[in-house]
Amino acid sequence: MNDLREGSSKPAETHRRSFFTTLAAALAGIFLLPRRLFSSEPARERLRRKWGMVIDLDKCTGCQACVVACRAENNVPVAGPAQTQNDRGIFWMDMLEVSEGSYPDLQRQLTPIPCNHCENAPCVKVCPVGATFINEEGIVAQVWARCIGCRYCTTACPYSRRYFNWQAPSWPETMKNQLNPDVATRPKGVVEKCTFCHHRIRRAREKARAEGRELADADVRTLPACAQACPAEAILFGDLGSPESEVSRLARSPRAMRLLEDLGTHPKVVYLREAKWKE
Amino acid sequence: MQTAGVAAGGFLLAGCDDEDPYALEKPAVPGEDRWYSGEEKWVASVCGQCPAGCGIRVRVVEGRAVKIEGNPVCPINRGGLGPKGQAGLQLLYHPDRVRGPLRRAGPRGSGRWKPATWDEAIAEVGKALTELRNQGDPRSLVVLDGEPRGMVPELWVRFLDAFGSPNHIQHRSTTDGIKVLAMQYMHGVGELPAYDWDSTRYVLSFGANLYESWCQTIHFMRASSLMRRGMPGRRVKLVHVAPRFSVTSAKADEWVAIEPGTYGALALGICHVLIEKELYDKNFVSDHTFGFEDWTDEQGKAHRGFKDLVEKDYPVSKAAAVTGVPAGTIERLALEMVEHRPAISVADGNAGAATNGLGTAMAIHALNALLGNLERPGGMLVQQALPLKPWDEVERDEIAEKGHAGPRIDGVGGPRCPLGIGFIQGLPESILSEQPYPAKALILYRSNPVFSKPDGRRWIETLQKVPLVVSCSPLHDESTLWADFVLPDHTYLERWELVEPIPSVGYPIMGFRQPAVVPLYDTMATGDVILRLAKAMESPMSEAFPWKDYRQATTERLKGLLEVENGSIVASKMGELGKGLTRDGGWHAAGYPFEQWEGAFRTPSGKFEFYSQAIAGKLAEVFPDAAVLEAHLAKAGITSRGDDLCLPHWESPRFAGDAAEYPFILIVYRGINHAEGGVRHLPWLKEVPLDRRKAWKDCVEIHPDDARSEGLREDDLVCVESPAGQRSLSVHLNPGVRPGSLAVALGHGIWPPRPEGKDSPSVMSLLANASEPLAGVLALQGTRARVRKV
Amino acid sequence: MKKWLVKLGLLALAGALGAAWGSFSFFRPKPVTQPIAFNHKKHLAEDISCKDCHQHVEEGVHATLPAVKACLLCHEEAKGSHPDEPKVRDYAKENREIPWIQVNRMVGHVYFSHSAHVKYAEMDCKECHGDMKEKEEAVTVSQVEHLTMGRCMACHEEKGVSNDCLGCHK
Repeated sequence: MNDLREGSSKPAETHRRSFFTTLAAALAGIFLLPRRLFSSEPARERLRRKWGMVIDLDKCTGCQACVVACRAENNVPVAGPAQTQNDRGIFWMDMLEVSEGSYPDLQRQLTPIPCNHCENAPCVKVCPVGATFINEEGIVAQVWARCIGCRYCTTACPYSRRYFNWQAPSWPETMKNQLNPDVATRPKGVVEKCTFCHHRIRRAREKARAEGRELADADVRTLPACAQACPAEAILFGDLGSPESEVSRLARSPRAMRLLEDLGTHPKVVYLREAKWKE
Repeated sequence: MQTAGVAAGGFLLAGCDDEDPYALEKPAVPGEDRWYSGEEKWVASVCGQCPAGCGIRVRVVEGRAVKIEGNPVCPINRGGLGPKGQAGLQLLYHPDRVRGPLRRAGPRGSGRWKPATWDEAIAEVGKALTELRNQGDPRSLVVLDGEPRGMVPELWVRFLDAFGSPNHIQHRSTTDGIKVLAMQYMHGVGELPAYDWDSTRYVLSFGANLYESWCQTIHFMRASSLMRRGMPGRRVKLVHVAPRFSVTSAKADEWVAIEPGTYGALALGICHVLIEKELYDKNFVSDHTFGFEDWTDEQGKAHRGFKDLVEKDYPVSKAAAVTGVPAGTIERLALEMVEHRPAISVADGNAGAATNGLGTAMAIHALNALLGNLERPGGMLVQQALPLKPWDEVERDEIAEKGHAGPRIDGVGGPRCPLGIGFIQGLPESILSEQPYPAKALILYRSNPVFSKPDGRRWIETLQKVPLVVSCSPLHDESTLWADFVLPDHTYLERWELVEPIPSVGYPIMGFRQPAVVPLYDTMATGDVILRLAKAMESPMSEAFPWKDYRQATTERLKGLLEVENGSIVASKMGELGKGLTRDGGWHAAGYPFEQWEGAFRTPSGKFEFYSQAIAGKLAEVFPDAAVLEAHLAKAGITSRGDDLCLPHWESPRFAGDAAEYPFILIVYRGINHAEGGVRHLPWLKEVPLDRRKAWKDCVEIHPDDARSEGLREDDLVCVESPAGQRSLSVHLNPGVRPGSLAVALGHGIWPPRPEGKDSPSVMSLLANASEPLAGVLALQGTRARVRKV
Repeated sequence: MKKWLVKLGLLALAGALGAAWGSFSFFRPKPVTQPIAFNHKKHLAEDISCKDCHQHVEEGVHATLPAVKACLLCHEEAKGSHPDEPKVRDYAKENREIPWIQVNRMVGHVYFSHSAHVKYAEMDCKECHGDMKEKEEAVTVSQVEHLTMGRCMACHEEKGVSNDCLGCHK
């Protein structure tokens, strides 16, 4: 609580500030931080399930249905012309385009890129307030209310999959009708990111429970909005923790790769390489 | 302090004035009293963002549509849904929607409106139309209908049938009409083809942006997933031929760069290889085709066959020189197609639309016949008609008969457009010159010609010239601005409808659209508007529409489905059928009956016609005098003569504008997020160009080398000028643009429309209004342009 | 000197209390007027259970407010003499739902599934909503008091339920 502007503040103010800071910290300590964070279990062992995604670049057609579906499902605000020019558009699921070559020998790689939900997530390590953490099923989550907007995580993420709300998200009055009630809107000044549509997992789990069974691979195959929308069925979702799941099977394919694997982030989004036709 | 209060006070905030930042308060919607609190449902329906007719499921929470997803039971999309479909919610809840019928309250184009009630508006429009009939001039009513097929177009046809006007004018001649014509003249079926993608082994696309702007893009994407990874050990090869490196080019297994306007030469070059090496399907050609070998007609006149034409006129060397595709590649493509049968050759309506369009589309189609893949698994199919019960025929009165006796206002079937199915781009000339007769009333249904047709400014004059203009647009678009009445349509998420998707799976398929939400505003389905207009008019108009409303009129037709035994819903009673349709959001038959040759080709010969007797017949009908035909061809710059005109052939494409003055060829394309501009007001789609910084910007793409020589850099604002108009666009350097050409997406355009300024109203207005001289299809790839830095 | 400090302290304490009171009353929900003065006590005494009206409480996220159909099961014919009772049939006749005003609303970043708590955790409705058996007048303000995250988590801890943030937060 050192005031860097020495002598500029009155003692009473300092008292009040430290009182509220302590109060806030205490409240946060009591109410906000999950006990699990303090658990002594190693992170790896906590994971019963490891939600993961496989994106087949050979099937992907670059149509961006996933991008729009994600924005619709997760109440991602429209950036508008001005913010777009500043590169401040928010895309939890984005389409990465890389082109090279010169006419007519051209190559272009289109890669749908959601949060990689790294097992060793750089963003989690740098968050000073515990607003981002890996949940028990391997989802790298963000607690909007706890985020102080320092943006360390946006810098730390090697995949640039975190977005800061530079302005209060706004919708034309009539378009508020389309907001998904299952997903919170985020206020100005917090960082937001892909959640693997965890609200849909929750729903699917409740449905399975009501039917008296465990959540099966078939329930979650195209569970996130991006996977559901994909016309080419290029995106599959499932449990990387279970070796029998389809995503695990595909993750063992010789075409499988992960983005920037050498950084040791252990992403849980697996890509299957594009392979052109061979005689 | 207050925040602390909330945290301590509990999570439940009721009746609090401050908005919860985590759940914004939603405005009231009509029909809220029809839902109980907490109610949530999924409504099965049909997407309406393009004519593909994908099945959708709409999640509706307490009367508000909050998500659209693909419907897994629909064979077109099987659960997937494209970006446009996903963005449908933004159309429904768009702030610029017209909220009720409007009557003009200032000069045309002033944008000043006075609200009217439906009764008033219908009565007034009905009265004006009745007057036209009473004056004995029913043909002066023109309906511009932008929906390619379905119930509303059929109702318009019926309306005009009873009214006495032949002028039901659709958009096909400026979109994919060229493909329809190739089908009509060679197959005898005036509709786009369907394809059996699931069993094919090779796809050669002539400019068809299958992954972006194909007529059945989502259907193809699903199929392509199967082609690539769905059948272990078997992978389909997709070869894409196009001048511009698009997403489809990138995703295809091979991209072949080609000179603009030369697809026909390439197709004929490939045909040449097949014929020369005798690799074509001889059994198919001899059993099911007409006009391959030279033949003699009943009068004893000798005619040239397709074989002779290809062998003599289209050697590979010529094809290579014209197209810029190496001869080796042409030969390899031909051999690959033969080795990987069934192989499909597929044309694109947009890319193929040039001054040589018809011969080109026929050449690409002929390739399919040579490979013998028509009506066969893995080949090209004819979409089968829906077994709907037809409405009773309209009984025309004397006035109507007289109206129908005259020519169409757009000149179809005359020398202006001898072989075409429509000539909407010629309407401004017809209307402004009052030739062949004046237009006195014009109705716009899903049609915005000021934006989506060439000569946008001239269209404004045209609309001003017509005494009564009625627009059914749900949004204030460029053309609606010049209307006298706006009778706003529901959006597709608010209405009942039977949907006939454009050809997709081949077997009969129908979408069942049901409202996901209660209509937000005082709008009305155009089907109901037609019925009510007819009822507001005197006999025999009112008798032609005996139904209570649009829903009843269409339900009547469903009776035909009760007799089909192998459909997805088998029902003997309407109640059962209705229940099934409500659940599935559609109906489809079991599968395609392959190789049913009886009636497969509805041509004069009953076979697939390399030599189209229908073309020969029409030319003879329109130009009974050979000298007149000769003069017409010479004037249009057509070099082919005689039998060649009825065969697949290739002419050099012509481009409007002098090459010295306008050094670039303008290539227009449709992107997946904008299509032709009908969805450009949806922010989600505005924000997804592949280069995200180009969102909200209208760009012209130019090759970096060309940009350097023109002194242009990325993001420079330039004026693109063509002989037809000019438009300010932002420069985007794209190494995928063929040097010597400029690429512009058709759907570009600002929203809301701003009519003032020097700029042409749209990219379309940059295009010269030049058409295929015989087929009357707009030459989308037929204009030169230059760039000027501003 | 010290006296002055004590006085200031007392003043500050009073001020803080006042501010707290102010903010509490500020955030106190304003009572609403329900379209029908529904008497919970009377209905519950008739051997009707909560889920007979709040029909989705065991299968959905929301317990839901009753659809007019549910009311008609008993009120198809006139019953009793309350002046609001015929209104039920009026709504039904107009094919409208009764525009009940929902007073218990979860804040935007919390997901609370009624089925999970009522069906699987077998919690009694009154643990959160109070004893409705005693409630005679229409519900005009939230009946749920002091439901804090601490309480949620304590109960989850006690019952061995996950306290994963994503379990409850949107």
